Amino acid sequence: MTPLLPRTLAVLAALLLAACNATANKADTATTAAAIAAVPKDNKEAAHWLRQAAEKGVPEAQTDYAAMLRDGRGVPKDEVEAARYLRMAADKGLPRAQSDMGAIHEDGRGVPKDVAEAMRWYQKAAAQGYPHAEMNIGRMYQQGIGVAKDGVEALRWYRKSADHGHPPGQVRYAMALREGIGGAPAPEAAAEWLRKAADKGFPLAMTMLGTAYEGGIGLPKDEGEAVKWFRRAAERGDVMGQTLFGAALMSGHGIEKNEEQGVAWLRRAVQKDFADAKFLLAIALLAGNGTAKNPEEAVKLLRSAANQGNVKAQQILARLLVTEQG
Amino acid sequence: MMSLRWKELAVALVALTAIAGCSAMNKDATAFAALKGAEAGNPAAQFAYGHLLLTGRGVAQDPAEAARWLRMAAEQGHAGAQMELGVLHYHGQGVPKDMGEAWRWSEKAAEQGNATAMLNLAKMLREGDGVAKDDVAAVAWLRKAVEQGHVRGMFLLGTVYYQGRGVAMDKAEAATWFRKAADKGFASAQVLLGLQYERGEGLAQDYAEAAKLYRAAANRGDAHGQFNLARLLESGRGVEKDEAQAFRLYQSAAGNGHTRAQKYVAGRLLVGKGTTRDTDEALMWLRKAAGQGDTDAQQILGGLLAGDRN
Repeated sequence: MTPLLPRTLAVLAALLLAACNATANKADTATTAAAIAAVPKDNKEAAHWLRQAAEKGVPEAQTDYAAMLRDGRGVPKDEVEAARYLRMAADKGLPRAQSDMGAIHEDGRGVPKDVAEAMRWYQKAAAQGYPHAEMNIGRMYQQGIGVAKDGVEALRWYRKSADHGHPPGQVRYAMALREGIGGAPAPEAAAEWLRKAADKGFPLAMTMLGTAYEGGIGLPKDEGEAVKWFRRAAERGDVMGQTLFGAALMSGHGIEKNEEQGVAWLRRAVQKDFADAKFLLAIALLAGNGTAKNPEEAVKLLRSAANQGNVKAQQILARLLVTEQG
Repeated sequence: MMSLRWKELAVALVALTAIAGCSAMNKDATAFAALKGAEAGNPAAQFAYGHLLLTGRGVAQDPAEAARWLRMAAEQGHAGAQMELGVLHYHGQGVPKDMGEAWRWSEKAAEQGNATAMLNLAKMLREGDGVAKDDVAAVAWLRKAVEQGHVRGMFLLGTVYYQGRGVAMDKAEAATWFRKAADKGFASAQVLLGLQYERGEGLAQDYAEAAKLYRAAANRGDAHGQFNLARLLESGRGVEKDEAQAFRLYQSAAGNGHTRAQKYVAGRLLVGKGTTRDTDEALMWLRKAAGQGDTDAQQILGGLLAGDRN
C-alpha cells in the first residue's frame, strides 16, 4: 500500500505556498513536515473527516479512508468496507487507488485473492505512470506471481518505476541490477541507484547502500562508510538497518565496539518482529555480550526466529536442544 | 433574489407616520400606523405592513399574513409589493412555491420600472425558472436596471461580459462595468476588477491598482477583498511585503466564513508564517472549514491527525 502522509504533506505545503503558486519547494516541505509532526495524532477524528470527504465522492479521501478501514486505524477494522471505498476511487481513475486495488487482490484483503485481477489493476495504474504499480508489476514478473517468471520484464518495469523517481522502485531496480536479474550483473549501476534513493531519505536504500560498501559491491569496500549508512537507516526506523548497525556495534567492524548499544539497537529491531535481529540478540544473550546472560530469553527468541524460517536460528536451536538433552 | 429596497420602505414608513400623526419612529407605533393605513386600503401602507410582518419588526413574524397584505397592495398596482410578492412565490415563503407566479409578479413590477424586479427577472431568465431560459433577454433586463443607475445591475452586467453569457465575451467591457459599480462602493465589483488588474485581463496588469481595489473592498468588510489583499501583501506585489498584516487579513476573511482563508490561516499558524506558531488554533480553523463541508480541509485534517500505519 502507499503511505498516507507524504501526499498530505505535499498538499499542505502547496496550500501554505498557494498565495504565489501551487508548487512547494524543499524548504517548505521540511517546514511542513515539522508542522505535521507537531499535531497531536487522533486517528478517530482523522477517520471522521476523511469519511465525510469520502462520502462526498472525493477519490483521494476514499482511498485514504479505505486505508484506515483496512488497518483498523480510528475505525473498527473492516476490509470489505475498505475495498468498497477503494473501488469507488479506483473506478474514478485515481492511480493510487488502482494500485491499492492491485495490492488487496494480491493479498486477498477484503476481496477474494486473485493475482490475475491484481495484475490488471496494477496495469491500470501503471498506464497512468504510477510508479508504485510499475514496481509491483516488476515484482510479479520477478517472482512469477500470476505470470510466468520473466527477469527481463521485471527489470524493464523496475526501470520504469525508478525513472519515475520512486525510491522503493529504485531499490528494487538496483537489487535486480546487483543480482543480475534479466541481464548481466551491474553492481556499479546498482550502487548509483541506491545512492539516488538514499539521498531522497528512503531508509531501505540507505541500508542496501551500506551493504554495497560493506561488501565492496559496485563501490570500493569501506566498512566505516557502510556503518554510517546503517546508522542513518537505523535512525529512520529501517529494521534491517537497525540489525546491521547493532551487529556492527557488537563486532566493532567499522565503528568502535559498544556491545550495550548494539544490544539496544537489536532490541528495537526485535520489537518489530525481525527474525535476523532475534537470532543476533539470542547469541548476545547466550554469551552475555552487552547484556546479562539469559538463556531462557535466548531460546524463546530462537524459537520465534526459527518459526519465521530463519535457518541459522533453526540450526543453533537444534544444537542447543541436543546438548541440553545429551 | 433581492429583498425589499430600503429606500421604498423608508418612503412608505415616513408617509405612514404622517398619516398616523406620529413623529416618533417607535417600532410598535410604526406597525400600528401601518396596520391602520393598510386596513384603510392604502397600498403603500399595505406594502409596509406586509413587510413588517415578513421581517417580524414590531409585530410577530407571519409570512402567510405578510403575503396576504402584499398581494392586496400588488393588486392595486404597487410596484414594490409586486416585486416582493414575486420573491415570496420564488422561495415559496408564505405562499406556495410557484415560479410562474414569481415571474408574473416580477414582470409587472419591472414593467413599472422596479429595478430590483428587473434583476430578479434576469436571474429567472438565466436559470430558466418560470420562463424559458434566455440569456439574451436576461441581459436586456439588466441593461434596463442599469439605465436607472442600479449599482448591483452594473456589477451583474460586468459579470455577463466577463463570462460571455448572453453577450460576446468582452473582458474590457466587463472592466468598464465593474469600474462603474466599484466607484459607487460595490465591494464585489471592486474585488473582480482587482482580479482583472492582477491578471491583466482586458486591461494592462497593475498590481498596485489591484491592491487599491482589494483594500477598498476589505475596508467594507468584504471577505474576498481581505483575502486577495492578504495574498498581495504576502507576496509583496503592488504593496510592500508584510506577512503579519497579511495574516491578520486572512484571519478577518476567515472569520467572515471564507473557507479558503480559513485553510490559509491554519497553514500559517501551523508553520508560524506572519504569526506565532499555534497548532491548536490551526486545528480549530481547519475544523471550522471541514465542518462547513470543505473537502480539502477534511482531507488535510485527516492527513494531519492520522498517526503512523502501525
